[in-house]
Amino acid sequence: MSKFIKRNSIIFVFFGVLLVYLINANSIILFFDSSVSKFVFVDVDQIKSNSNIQIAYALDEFEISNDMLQTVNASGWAFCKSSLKNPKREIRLIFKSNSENTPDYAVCIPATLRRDFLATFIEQADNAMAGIEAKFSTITMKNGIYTLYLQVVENDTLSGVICTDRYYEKRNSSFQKVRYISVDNITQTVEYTSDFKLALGEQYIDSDILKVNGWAFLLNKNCNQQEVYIKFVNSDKECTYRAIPQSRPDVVKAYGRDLYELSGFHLEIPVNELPFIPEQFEIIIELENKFYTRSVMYDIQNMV
Amino acid sequence: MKLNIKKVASPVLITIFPIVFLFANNSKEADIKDAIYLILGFSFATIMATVFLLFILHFSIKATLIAEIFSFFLLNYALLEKIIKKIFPQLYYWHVFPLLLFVLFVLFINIYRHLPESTTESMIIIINIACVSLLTFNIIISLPNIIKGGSDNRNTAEKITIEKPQSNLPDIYYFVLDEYSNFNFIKKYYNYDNSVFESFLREKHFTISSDSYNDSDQTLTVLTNILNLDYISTNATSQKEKYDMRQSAVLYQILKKAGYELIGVGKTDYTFALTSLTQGSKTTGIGNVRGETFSQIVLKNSFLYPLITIDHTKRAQEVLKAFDYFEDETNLKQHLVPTCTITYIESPHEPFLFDPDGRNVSPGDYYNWSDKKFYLNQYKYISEKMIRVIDNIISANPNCIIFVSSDHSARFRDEFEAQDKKSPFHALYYCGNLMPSISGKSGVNTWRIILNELLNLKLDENVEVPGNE
Repeated sequence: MSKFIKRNSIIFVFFGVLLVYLINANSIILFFDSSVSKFVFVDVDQIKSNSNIQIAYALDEFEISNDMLQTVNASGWAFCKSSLKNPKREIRLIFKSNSENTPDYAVCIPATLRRDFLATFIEQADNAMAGIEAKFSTITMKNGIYTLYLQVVENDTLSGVICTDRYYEKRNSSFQKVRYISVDNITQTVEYTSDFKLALGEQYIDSDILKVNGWAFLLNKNCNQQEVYIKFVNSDKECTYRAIPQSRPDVVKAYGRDLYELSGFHLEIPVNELPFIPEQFEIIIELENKFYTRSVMYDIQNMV
Repeated sequence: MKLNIKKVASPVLITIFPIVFLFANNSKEADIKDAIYLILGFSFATIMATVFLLFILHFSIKATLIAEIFSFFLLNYALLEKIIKKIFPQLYYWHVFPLLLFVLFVLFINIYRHLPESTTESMIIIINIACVSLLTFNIIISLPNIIKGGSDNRNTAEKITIEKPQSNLPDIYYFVLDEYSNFNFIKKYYNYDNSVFESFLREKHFTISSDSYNDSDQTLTVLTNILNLDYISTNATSQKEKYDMRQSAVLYQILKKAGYELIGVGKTDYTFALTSLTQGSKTTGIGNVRGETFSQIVLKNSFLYPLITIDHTKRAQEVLKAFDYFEDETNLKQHLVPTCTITYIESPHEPFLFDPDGRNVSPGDYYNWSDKKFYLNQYKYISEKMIRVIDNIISANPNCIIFVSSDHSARFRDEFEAQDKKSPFHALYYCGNLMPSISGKSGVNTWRIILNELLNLKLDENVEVPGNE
């Protein structure tokens, strides 16, 4: 055995070097590209608990490249609604994992100057550095679905964080925006309540896509804390998806309550990704670990 | 042991085989010059590497076998990586390449230490025989296309005589928007009502056809035939022949005889064999639908594939520059010498670079036909741009002819019927006067109608459209 090792020592040495390299390869490759921001690990729950101020923001759609480093370009603006002048603002794009087994990642970038932002928010003339210009690589991210949060750090004590209601999935060499999240069928008791207010917008299926959207809320409850699920059925088959929340200022205006800002929901699923063609659906709201329904099944318009 | 030609030449056979194979299977489309340059370059690199190995390994024949295996690995690396990534999808290029290099390193050490010389020689002979046979077969099947070469102007257009250049001829603006679907098509398959553009055109006294059909859904076949006013080429005609036919196009001959000057705008160098005023560099080489040249396709299979990228920014700029040409009024006023401005815009053909407002699309969606919105968004953007272009032209030069057309409609979804794909968009403005109907007329026949009206020719306006593929 020792003779074998001695004779092939060079192979063993190379193998050892190769192993070390392979384990750290992603980080090594990123090290050589200084234009790409690196991820840091964060704890979103802790960030949320330390957050003490509201933020305003606008985020453009990510430009996701198909290049070797899976680079993503993000742009937009964000600032804390405070009276601070000229803060050394730092902005963080935080990807919160939907799974407990994967960490949360953040990209930290100094805020940049956005002249168009200044034109709109003249009162922020002293806080003009609110731009987001980030370029990062997703090759070191573990597979999973992530919710995008935005944190603005004005200084050591003042920061705000907000959920953007955008979801992204990292799956091996691909990173893309998630338009729907499939969940297990709800087995807990779903209560009927007359406080369930709902209006539907589009509810159809054609050769390409299934689309359902509208708004829903429970009277006097904060929509920021609700999750809307859509249960699709066909005969004895059912499947459930979590809808993506949407801002509905029209609902706020109609009801006169800011509580209903995030009452909107939408869901788009490519038909070829459905387990079956649904005929009806039901809207379910989850709030404080309880599920509520109107106990009404709605028909899906079949445009095929 | 000494250096001899056999030891050095054998690996070259492995190196040139993928190039010859690819060329043989695409000899109608590919230019032999591209293949030759690649063969020479790769052969030189292989010979240098083999000589180096021979020196290191004391001119042992095993160096030849190692060089052959290494050549094969490097040239087909992308395929090997695909296979490995099916099993280990989380790996990237920088994992797989060093890993395979290590495996090869171990293999080569074992070849050098343990494989008998006689076995090595036998293996090399077998590999050489296989390579030579396959190379010979591939060269034979591609020979007819190589020898055929260019065309001897085989167009069969009718003899057309124009006595002398005529006076007071209007300027002509001929637009070809690649893959721009007609109104019926976009309504049927995308459920999109393009009535804004349609109403605009009708208000400007355009005659529109939504039921025309061309002979093919291949751009260069369609354009070659339109420019020659007859169906002289098919999809089976080689690209070289078709290019020659476009260079000596009957339409160009007629227009020049009538006194017209020809101007190219956009990507006309290759598609129309006309030097473009807006392109920085001449379009060389033939590309596939995605604009990849033969060299790029070969290199994409090799270990160099990470370096092969298509410059999409350049493609976007080409489109924008073509539209910008029509923002300059000096280009639009009536010319002293009658001018035919031929504009070819490779949009809304993929890649899908623009959203409806002209903003960037995410690179991952450049070729996304599954989600209809990407083609449709680019289509909307081009429609908007054309409204502005047409408005500018007519404002500066109302007494002109504008023929806005496409070669075919959208093509790359299974649901599109073959005949619908061949239906182009046609809209004709003739000096503000309503033309006789061009409804149902192919590109060839529409041009015949225009020329008959313009130059008082007597061309048959109902040449039958072949239905071949």
